[in-house]
Amino acid sequence: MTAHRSFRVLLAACTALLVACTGTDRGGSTTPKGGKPEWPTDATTVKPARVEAPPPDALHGGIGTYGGRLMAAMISDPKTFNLALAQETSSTTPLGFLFEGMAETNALTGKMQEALAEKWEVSKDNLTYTFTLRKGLQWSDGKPLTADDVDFTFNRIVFNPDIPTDWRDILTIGDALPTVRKLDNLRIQVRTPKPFAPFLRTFAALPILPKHALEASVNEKDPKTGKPRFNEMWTIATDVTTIPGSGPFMFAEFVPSQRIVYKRNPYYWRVDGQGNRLPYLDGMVIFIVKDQNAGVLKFTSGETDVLFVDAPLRGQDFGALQPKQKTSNFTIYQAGPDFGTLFLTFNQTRDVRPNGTPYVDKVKGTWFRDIRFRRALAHAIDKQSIIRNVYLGIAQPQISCESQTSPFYSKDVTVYPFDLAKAQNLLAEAGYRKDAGGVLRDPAGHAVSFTLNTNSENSERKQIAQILKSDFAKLGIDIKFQPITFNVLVEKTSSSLDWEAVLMGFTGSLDPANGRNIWHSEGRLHMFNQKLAKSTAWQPEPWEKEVDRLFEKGATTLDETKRKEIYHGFQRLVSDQVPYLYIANRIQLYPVRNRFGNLKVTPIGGPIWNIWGLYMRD
Amino acid sequence: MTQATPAAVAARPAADALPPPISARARFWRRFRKHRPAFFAFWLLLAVYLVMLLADVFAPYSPLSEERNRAFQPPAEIHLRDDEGRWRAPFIYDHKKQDDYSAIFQAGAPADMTLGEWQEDRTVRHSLGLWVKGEPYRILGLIPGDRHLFGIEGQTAPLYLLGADNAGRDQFSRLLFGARVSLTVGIIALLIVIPVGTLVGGAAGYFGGWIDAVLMWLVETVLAFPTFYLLLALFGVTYKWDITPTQRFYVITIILSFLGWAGLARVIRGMVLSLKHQEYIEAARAAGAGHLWIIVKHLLPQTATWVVISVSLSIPGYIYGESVLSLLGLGVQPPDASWGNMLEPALNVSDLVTHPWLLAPGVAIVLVTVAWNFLGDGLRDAFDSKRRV
Amino acid sequence: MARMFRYILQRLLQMLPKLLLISVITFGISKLAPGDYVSNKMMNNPTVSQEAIDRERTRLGLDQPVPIQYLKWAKNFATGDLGESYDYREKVSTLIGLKLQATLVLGLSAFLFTWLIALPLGILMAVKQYSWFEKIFSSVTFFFLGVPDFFLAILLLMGAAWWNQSHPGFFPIGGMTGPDHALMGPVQQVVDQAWHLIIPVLAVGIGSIAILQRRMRGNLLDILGEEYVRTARAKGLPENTVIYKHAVRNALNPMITLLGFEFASLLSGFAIIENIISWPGLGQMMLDALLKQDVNLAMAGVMTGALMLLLGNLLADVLLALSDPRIKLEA
Repeated sequence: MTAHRSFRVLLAACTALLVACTGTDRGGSTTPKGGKPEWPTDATTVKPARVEAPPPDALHGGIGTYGGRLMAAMISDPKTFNLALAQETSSTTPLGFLFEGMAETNALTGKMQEALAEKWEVSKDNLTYTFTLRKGLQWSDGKPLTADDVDFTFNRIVFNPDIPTDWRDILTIGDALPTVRKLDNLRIQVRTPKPFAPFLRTFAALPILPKHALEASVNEKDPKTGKPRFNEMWTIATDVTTIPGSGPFMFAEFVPSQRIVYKRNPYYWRVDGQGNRLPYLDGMVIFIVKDQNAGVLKFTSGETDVLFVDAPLRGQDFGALQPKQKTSNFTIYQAGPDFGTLFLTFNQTRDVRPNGTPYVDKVKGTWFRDIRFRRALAHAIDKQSIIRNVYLGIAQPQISCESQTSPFYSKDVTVYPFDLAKAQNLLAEAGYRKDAGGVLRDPAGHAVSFTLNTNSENSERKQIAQILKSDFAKLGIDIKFQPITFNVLVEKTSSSLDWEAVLMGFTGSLDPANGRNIWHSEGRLHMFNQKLAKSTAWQPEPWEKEVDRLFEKGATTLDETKRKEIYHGFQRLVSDQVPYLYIANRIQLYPVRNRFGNLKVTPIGGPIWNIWGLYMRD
Repeated sequence: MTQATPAAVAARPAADALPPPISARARFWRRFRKHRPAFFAFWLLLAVYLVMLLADVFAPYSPLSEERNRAFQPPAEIHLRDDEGRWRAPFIYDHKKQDDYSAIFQAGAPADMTLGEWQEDRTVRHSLGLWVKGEPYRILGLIPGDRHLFGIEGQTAPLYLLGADNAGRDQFSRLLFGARVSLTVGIIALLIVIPVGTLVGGAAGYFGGWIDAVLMWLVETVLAFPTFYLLLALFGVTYKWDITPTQRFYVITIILSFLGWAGLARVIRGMVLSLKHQEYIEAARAAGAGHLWIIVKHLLPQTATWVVISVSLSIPGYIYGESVLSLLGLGVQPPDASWGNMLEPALNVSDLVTHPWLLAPGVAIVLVTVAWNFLGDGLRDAFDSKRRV
Repeated sequence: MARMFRYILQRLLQMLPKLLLISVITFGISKLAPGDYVSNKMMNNPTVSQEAIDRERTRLGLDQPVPIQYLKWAKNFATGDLGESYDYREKVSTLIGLKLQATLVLGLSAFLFTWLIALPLGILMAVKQYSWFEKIFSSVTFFFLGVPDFFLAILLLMGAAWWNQSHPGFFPIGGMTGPDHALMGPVQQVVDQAWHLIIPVLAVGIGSIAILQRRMRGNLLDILGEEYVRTARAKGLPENTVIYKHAVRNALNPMITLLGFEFASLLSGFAIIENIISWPGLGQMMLDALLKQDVNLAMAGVMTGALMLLLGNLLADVLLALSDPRIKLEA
């Protein structure tokens, strides 16, 4: 035996393996006919046809033509296809094209409108809702979609204590859950424990799941865990073509980490103005690209029509893509500022550890709880430079704690423009003085210095932290900047409370009531003054109690105008107290190839919320 | 199957033992100089390391000084002729940028705004000077001074030889200071890795038996150890210490180098295994030479070629490692400069297209890596005492 | 041959305590890092309640002491049950199965590409030492050695995208197969896959070619300097016979040790590059699992990596012994 021979054997083995790997492929493929590939449909008889159903009002523009595919990309892999268990947008976004709720948010107005349900009625006491489903609804496998499915979704899945779904949290009002009862094949009655303003938004928009496909898995228990087999249903290893949906598309193929291929749902309920069954497009492909760069290059290469379905464009990419709009035949659409928040915040807790030591150094705690200190620093944040250098212009200063896109957003709040002189004065009023060495000292003579944490994976936040550091240094404040991994950051802010200042963000939403965990003084994300289960010396400030009261009132008031007033008051109060020093919102930009009719990019829906109405123009 | 013939084995001790040390060194130098790229690389590296040490003088600015309004200002063009075509001492023009971001955002509309471009302001000339007064510094924290090798006289405009980064800091200065991290990491690590690796490998190969078994057991375990996992854990633990991110990076490098010797040890062991059966080793042992003596004096020198190549290849490996860690957000953190964290923005294709000068740290990494490789190559050829040219 | 067999068996047995030690240490240090999967995933989501978080911790057993968690994991692992991924709610073995093919295809293609080019190139460069050919090629390989692989990957992608602007769809960006792969005939499928491999193989392979080529050249130069080679030359053997029949063979021996390392990297070597070129392989999933503290998945990755390395080492030793009779196998 020689080196030569062993090498040859090895190479041969490798080649064989390689061929074996490339040769094998999933079954069920058909050869393309006439050059144009076509994904097999089990319901070829139900080709797009006119149906007798009234068109939903003002859902989209012109009448389109059938055919074509939309190519898009997405950054992360879906983790599951079980919508009730999905916790990340990379799972919920691809499933959003499959499942619809009884009602939906109008992407243009932000109001709730009918989807699977054709109407609903609210009782006088605001406690009972009666939903009526559209007639003749069908799942993508042809089975009827009725009140049984709604009943199943809520009573067997959402309210099932053995199924760990986050939906239950959203629906919990106070401590109780609503009760859902099927009246007949089309009607469902829901009773809420008390009047709850965001009810329609949370309850009616919840996607309905197919009873016929899932019932068995809810009934059967996994012998090992004793929990329903549903918890292991529809993972990424499932044959996705078996998942029936109610949305415009159904899965044709899922290749992990590569792409999701959709084909038309032949039974989709939506029709256009002439009664033609939607969607117009034959299908859609979402490539999973993992990396922003690859997505951008795929787009400029012409492989995709929509850059990302799950993320807007970054500022840098705008600079590079904008000059190419004409030659590469696409347009970059604006969709307003994003929903999230980005802020600097200080740990104001007075709480002590079980061994009696305070979580925050006593001296530093007094600074952080001093409203003049916080206001001064709010004036020392150079938002314009941050927007210019970090976001390359594609952002807006954030002034309120609510999303600008939310109907409850208020401009009438206290703003803190960048003004170092003013910051200096505010600090002087509070008794802080710069010493001869330029170091800021508090009234007791301690040098002002604190540690600032942010998550090290986020280069934008790291860049912002540097800008803050150098501006605060001009006030004589020394920031020790420590970027840490996200895990560590969350651990610090939510349980060890071992932090002084952090730069981070929250996701936002249309309804302020969804921010209860952040704003309620005993909320789980009431970061700046966190109450722990073991807290002994924790105490909320009076204004925090006032916020609690406003939130309670806002959630139980159903009149839209009155709710607005309440939340405007809340935003003003918070902007006065500045627990969070807000920084900036990125402007969402979506590049889309110039080949689709009925395209309407909106802040709420992004580029393809009306995918069912889009058609190929060429 | 060809093997070392008895004649060859017999001839070797003579070749190794005979030449007097002085002439060996002279021959080494002669050969080394003959390898031009290696010779050039040697001087280049020497220069780079020197500049790195004296970065305070060579760099026109400190790595931390920023002019926020000048983020992404392009590299300064050094002019010799003014607008009228007259020859002048080297000078630059300042850059200006018009940007107006207000009222350009409107939801739903196409985004056709332009974000402003940098333009040379040709009204004022700013002349370059040598040994100009600038920011005060202390070389390596010791020798104070405020003179920089070159700069703009009177500091009337910033001199960005390689453009400005995303915070408006001079890339050229940062490159010089960043080298202090990127270029020393490998050396620090190798100071631990090489002695441990060669000794363990040598001992394992030489003694064989249970010593070999135990050492190789250790080596294989260490090799198979998931370094990345350890890295994450170390970062978690060190957050509790009151040290700067840069200090933490060094601490972690040192800890990790105590795992890094295993690969070297394994290779050395393999070589020693096939070397130790040479008759002269047996002869040395028969003559009563100590084990350590035999390993260090007779066996390890024969592995020098491999070690030299592996050093020249692994220093760039550490430079690379540093940049990967920065990529994952675990390396030296800005505002402190390192080549890795300077390269991070260049990994964004759009930034690379719009601000190509961000590529500079990448070019520096390539240059130094290539230089180290050429150097290793030249050393290899020069060490190769058996080959007469 | 029987001795060889016994040796291999012995080495395989020796792996068990190593794997045990590695698993204990890794599991332990993974718990040293603050936070856990749940804090990473759910804590910062405003709509998730504390009850939901506690429930999830209990479900995953994260509320139990670390030694108990380890013993549970180890018991399952020993019986061949890799557990369920927290993140995917699916068996870890199934998940690995889904992505193994992609990693192997890239690994083996890159392996063939690098070794088939690097070895002959190294030999050629040694034979033609100091020639123009050698100088030009060493500069080129040194350049590629200098470019960090992740950076090279990005440059390659940029190049491809630039080319695509005038030749739409020429180089696919990312992915292992095209969107209609499942509808193609077998021949088309192979072509489709090969086409998607071009950029990834280049990105992964070019740097290794440079390294391997340097090593091969160095080894061969060592051997060519040996006395017996000169003796063989002096005896008048044809130069080609001397080089290719005798010297090259011996110069390959140290490369075999490298082969073992290469084997190990087949499964875990490309995490970051996979991300950049959007290759649907294992490395990316495992890196993600590490960062997210998805313990079962991460541990499976760590243990597979460790096992591959140990097997790779064994493979190297066996090959070395087979090719060089001077080396005795001692277990």
